[in-house]
Amino acid sequence: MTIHDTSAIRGMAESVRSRRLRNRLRHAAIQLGIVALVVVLLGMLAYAVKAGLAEKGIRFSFSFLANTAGFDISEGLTLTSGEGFVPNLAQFSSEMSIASAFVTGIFNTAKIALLAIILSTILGTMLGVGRLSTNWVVRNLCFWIVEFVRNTPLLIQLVFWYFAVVLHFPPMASAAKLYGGLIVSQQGIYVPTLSWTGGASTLSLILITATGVSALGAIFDPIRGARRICVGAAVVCLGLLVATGGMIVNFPVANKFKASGGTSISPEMAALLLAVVVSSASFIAETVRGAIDALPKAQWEAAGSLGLSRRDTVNDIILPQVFRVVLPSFGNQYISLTKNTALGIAVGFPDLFNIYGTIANQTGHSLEGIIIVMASYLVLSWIISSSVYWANRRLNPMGVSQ
Amino acid sequence: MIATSIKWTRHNLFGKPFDVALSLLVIPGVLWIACSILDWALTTARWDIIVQSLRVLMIGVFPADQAWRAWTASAIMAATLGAGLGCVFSFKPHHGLVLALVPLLILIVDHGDPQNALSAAGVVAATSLGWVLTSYVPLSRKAMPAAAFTGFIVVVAVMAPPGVELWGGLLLSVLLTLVTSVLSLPIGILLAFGRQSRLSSLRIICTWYIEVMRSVPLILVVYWIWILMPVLAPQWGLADVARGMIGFTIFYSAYVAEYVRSGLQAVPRAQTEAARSLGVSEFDINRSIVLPQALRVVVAPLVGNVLDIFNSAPLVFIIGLTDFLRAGQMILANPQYGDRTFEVLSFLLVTYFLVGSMITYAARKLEDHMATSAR
Amino acid sequence: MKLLKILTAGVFAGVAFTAANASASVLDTVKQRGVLNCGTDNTAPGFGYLNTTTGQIEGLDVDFCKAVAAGVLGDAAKVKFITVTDKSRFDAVLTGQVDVVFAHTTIKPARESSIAIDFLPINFYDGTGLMVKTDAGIKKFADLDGATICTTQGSATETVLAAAFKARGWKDSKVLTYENLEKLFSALNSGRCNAMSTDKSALAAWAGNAPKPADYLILSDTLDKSPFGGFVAANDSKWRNALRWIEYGLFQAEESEITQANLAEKLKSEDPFIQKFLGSNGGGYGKDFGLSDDFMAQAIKAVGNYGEAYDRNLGPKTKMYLDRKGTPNALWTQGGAIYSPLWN
Repeated sequence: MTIHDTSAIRGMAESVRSRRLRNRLRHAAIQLGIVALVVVLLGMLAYAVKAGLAEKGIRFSFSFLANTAGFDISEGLTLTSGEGFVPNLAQFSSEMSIASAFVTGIFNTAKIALLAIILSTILGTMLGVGRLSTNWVVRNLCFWIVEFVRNTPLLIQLVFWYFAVVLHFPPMASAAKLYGGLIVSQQGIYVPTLSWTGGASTLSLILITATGVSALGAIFDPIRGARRICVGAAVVCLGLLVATGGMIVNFPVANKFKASGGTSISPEMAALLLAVVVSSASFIAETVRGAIDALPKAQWEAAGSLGLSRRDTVNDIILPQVFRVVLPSFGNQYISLTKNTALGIAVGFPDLFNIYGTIANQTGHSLEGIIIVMASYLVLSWIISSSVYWANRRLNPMGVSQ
Repeated sequence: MIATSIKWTRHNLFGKPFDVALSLLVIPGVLWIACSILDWALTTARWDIIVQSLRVLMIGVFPADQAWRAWTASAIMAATLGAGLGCVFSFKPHHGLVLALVPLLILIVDHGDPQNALSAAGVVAATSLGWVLTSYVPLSRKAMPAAAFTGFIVVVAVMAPPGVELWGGLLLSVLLTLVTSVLSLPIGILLAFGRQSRLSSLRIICTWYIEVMRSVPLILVVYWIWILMPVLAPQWGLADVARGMIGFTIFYSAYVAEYVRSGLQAVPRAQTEAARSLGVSEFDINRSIVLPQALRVVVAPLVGNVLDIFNSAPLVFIIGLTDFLRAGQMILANPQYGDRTFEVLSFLLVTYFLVGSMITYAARKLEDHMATSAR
Repeated sequence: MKLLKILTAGVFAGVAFTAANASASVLDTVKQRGVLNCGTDNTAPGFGYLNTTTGQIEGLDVDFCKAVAAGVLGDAAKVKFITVTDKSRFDAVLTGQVDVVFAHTTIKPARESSIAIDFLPINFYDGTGLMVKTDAGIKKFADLDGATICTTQGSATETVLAAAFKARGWKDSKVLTYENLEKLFSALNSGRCNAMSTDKSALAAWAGNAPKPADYLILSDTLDKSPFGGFVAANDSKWRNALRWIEYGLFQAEESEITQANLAEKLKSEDPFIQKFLGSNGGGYGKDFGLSDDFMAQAIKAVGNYGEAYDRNLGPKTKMYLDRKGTPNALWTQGGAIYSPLWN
C-alpha cells in the first residue's frame, strides 16, 4: 500500500468516525431535548396549577393530614402508636387524624384485594376447568356465567349484588342461625372464631405447637399420604386444645341491632367481594381455559392410556403446567381486581377512594388527597406485580419449557 | 330421533359417575332458578315503570322537543356502524329481517304509538343502507375511515347545541364510548411507537405513563381530571362531559398502546429491515408497512377494548353525569318506585348484556375473518 | 425549540388571560351572556327535583334560581339548570361553571373560610333529623345506641353524628355513608340501616312521597341546626349584593303582602314605599345594584313572594308538607326568622 492509499483509507475511516460521532451527538441532543421538553412542560403545568389555585383562593398544603378527622368510618382498622414504637391496629374513631383515615382506607382496600385474589383464583380455576367438562350442562353453565359477567359492567353487577341480594338477607331479629354458629343477616355475616385463653399452661403450648407443625406439614410436605396424615393430626390437636380449654370458640350472639362475638363481614364488604370475585373469576376462567386448550392433546391421550381418571389427569398433569404459564396473566388480573375495589363508593364500603371522597368534601383539599391516593394505588400495584414476578421466577427458573 | 336424544343424554349428561352426580345436583338447581326468574318476570314484576321512563333511560334529561337530534345522531352512528359491518360481513336478507324486528318491538312496547317506531325504522333503514353500500360497492370501503370520522364530527355537532350538560342516559354512554375510542386510538399508537423507540428518554416516559395508567383505577383518573381541569384552564369552561371524556381518553390510550404494541411485535422484523435497506424513511416504514399490518392483527382485541370502555362508562356517576345506570337509579329515587329495584336493574343488565354480546360476537367473527383472510 | 417557544407563550398567555378576566364581576358576565347558569340538585324533592314524567326540574331552590334570573335578566326562562351534587357544588361555582348555586347547602364556617365562597341569606331553616321505620320500636335518639345510622357522603351530618356519638360515649354505633339519598332510602327500607339521618326537610320529602308514609317515623330529636343558603364565588360584592337583595325582596314582598295575583294592581299603587320597592315610578333600587329598576317586580312575577314559593313546593298541597308555623321558616311577624332589612 502506498502512503496515498493508506491516507485515503484513514481519511475514509476518519470520516466514518466523525459521522458516527456526529450521529451520537445528534442522538444525545435529541434525548436531552426530549427530557428538557418534558421538564419544561411539567414546570408549566405546575405553574398553571399554582396560579389557578391561588386565584381561586384554594390553599395547597399537606398540613391538613394532622387535623382531627371529625367523621366516623364504618369499618376498618388503622395504625395507632402502641407501647413504644410498635404500631397497634385499632378501630378508627372520629378523634384520630386524617392521616389515620387514609391508612384505614388502604387497610380496607388491601383486605378486600387479598381476599378477592385468593377466592377468585379458586373460583376462576373451577370455572375454567368446568368449561371443558364432559358434562353438557356444566360446560354450558360455566360458559354462560362467564359470558354474562364479562359482557356487563362491573358497577351494575355490584349495585345488583348489594341492593338486590345482600340487602334482602333477613334482618338480625329473624336471621338464620345456621349450624349454631353462622349468622347470615342484613347487618352482616357473622362467623364464630377461636380465641386464645390458654395463658401459658404447658399443655396448651404443646398442643398449639403440634397444631402449627401439622398444618405446615399439611401444606408443604411433598408426599400426598404424609399430607393427609398431617391434616388429621392438626384437626386432632385443635380438638384437644378446645376440649382442654386452651382455646374457646366465640359464637356470635344476636343483639337488637347487631351481633357480638365472632368476626363479621359487613354487607357492603360482602357485596363488593362477591362482585369483584365473580368478575375476576370469569376473566381468570378464560385465561385458564385458553392455557388448557393450548396444551398438546397428546398429554390427555397419554394419561388416558395410562388409566388415569379425568380428575387425576387434571389435578396432577394439566393444572401444574397451566399454572406455570398463566401466572403473568394472573398478575394482570390481580392488579385489575385491586383497581376494581375502588367501586366500593357505590355501595358505601369505606375503601381508599371512598375515604378520599369524604376527606375531600370535609376538608376541601382534594388535590393533595389525589396525590396520596394515586401513590397508594401505585404502591399496591407494584407490590402485586413484584410478588407475581417473584413467584414466577420461583416456579419457572429457566423460563417456560415447551 | 328418540334413540339419538337418549344416546346424546347418556353421553353428555351421564357419561361418567362423576358426571351423573354433577347432573343430578346441577340440573334441578338450574331449572329451579330459571323457573323462579321466569315466573317473577312474567307475573309479579311490574314492567310499566320501564315503559314509562324509557325516554329518561335512553337520553336522560335531554329536552323532549330536541329528541329529533338524538334520533338523527343515532341514525348517523348506525349508518357508520352498518358500513363498518359491511366491510366484513356481506348484507344478507336475514340480516335485514332481524333489523326490521326492532321497530316492530318498539311499536308493541309503545302500545301502537307510531312516533318512536317510525324514528326507529329510520335508524334501521340508515343501518341497512350503510351495510348494503359497503357490502356491494367495494370502492366505498376505501372511503370508510374518512366517512367514519366525518360522521363522528357530525354527531357531536348535532348533539351539542342544546347544551352538552344535558346529555344523559344510554346515549351518553354510547357517545362517551365513541369519543373515547376514536381519540384514544391515535394517542395509543403514538405511545406504542414511543415505547419501543430507540431514544431511551422517550421510551422511559412512555413506559412510565402506560404503567401508571395501568396501576391506577379509572374512577380515580376521571375524578382527578375533573377537579384538575378547572384549576388548570378555567377560562375554557369545560363541561363535565368533556372532562369525563378527557379522563377516559387519557386512561384508555395506555391500554390501546399495549394492544398496538403487541401488534407491532407481531410484524416480522425482516420487513422493517428490508424496507430500510431500500432507503425508505423511518416514518414511511411505520406509516405504510408496519402500522397497517399491526392494526390488522389487533383489530379484534381493539373491538374488545371498545366493549371495555362501554362497560366502564357508568363510572361517570362520580362526576355527576347521568348515564344509563344513573338514569335507572334516578327513576328508583322516586319513593313511589323504590321497590322496583329488581325490574329496573334487570332491564339494565339485560340491555348491557345484549349490546355486549353483540360486540363480543362481532369481535369473534372479526378475529376469524382476519385469521382466514391473512392467508 | 420553536414549538417549545410557542407552547410556553401559549400557556403564559392563558394564565395572563385568566388573571385579566378575574376582575370582571359575574353580574356583568351574566348580563352579557343573557342566560343565568344556576346550579341545583335534581334528586331532592321540594328543593331541586327532576320530575321524570314532565322532564322539568322543580323545587324551592329552583324557584330562587328563577327569581334571580328574572331579577337580573328580566325573564325567568333565561336560566339554565345545571345539576350539581354534594361533591361538585363548590367546585362548580369556583370554576365559573355556574354563576350561583341553590342546593340546600348548610352554612358552616369551614365552608366559608377554607373554600372561597360567600353564602347568601338563609332561605330555609332546617335541622338534622333521623328517620326510622315505625315498626322498629325506636322512639328517640337514645334508643339508637349500638345501631347503624346512615347518611350521605360529604354532608354536614357526618360530622354531626360523629360528635353526637362521642358526646354520649356510644362506642358500638356505626355511621354508614352512601353517595346519594336514594341509596340511603333503599338501605333504610331493607333494614340495613336502623335510622336514616339527613336534613329534616329531606326526610319529610322521602316519607311523604313513599307509597305508605305511615311506615316511617321522623324522630322529634333535632341533632343540629341546618340553615340552607345559596352561595356564589367569593370576592365579588357586586354579584353577591344584587342576589342578596333579590332574596330579601322576596321576604319583604311577603311581609308587604304582594303576591303574583295582586302584582298588577300593586304596580299601580300610590304608596311611595311600594313604588320604590317595585320600581314602578321610575325610581327604584335597581340602579345601585346594576339591575333594572323593576327587578323585584320581575322576580315576584316569576315566582311570587317567599310564602307563595314555599307553599308551591313545601306547602299543604304537596306530599312533603312542612308546616311553617312555629318554625324559623315563618315570617318574623309570625314568630319566625324570615326577616328582610328595611327597603327605605
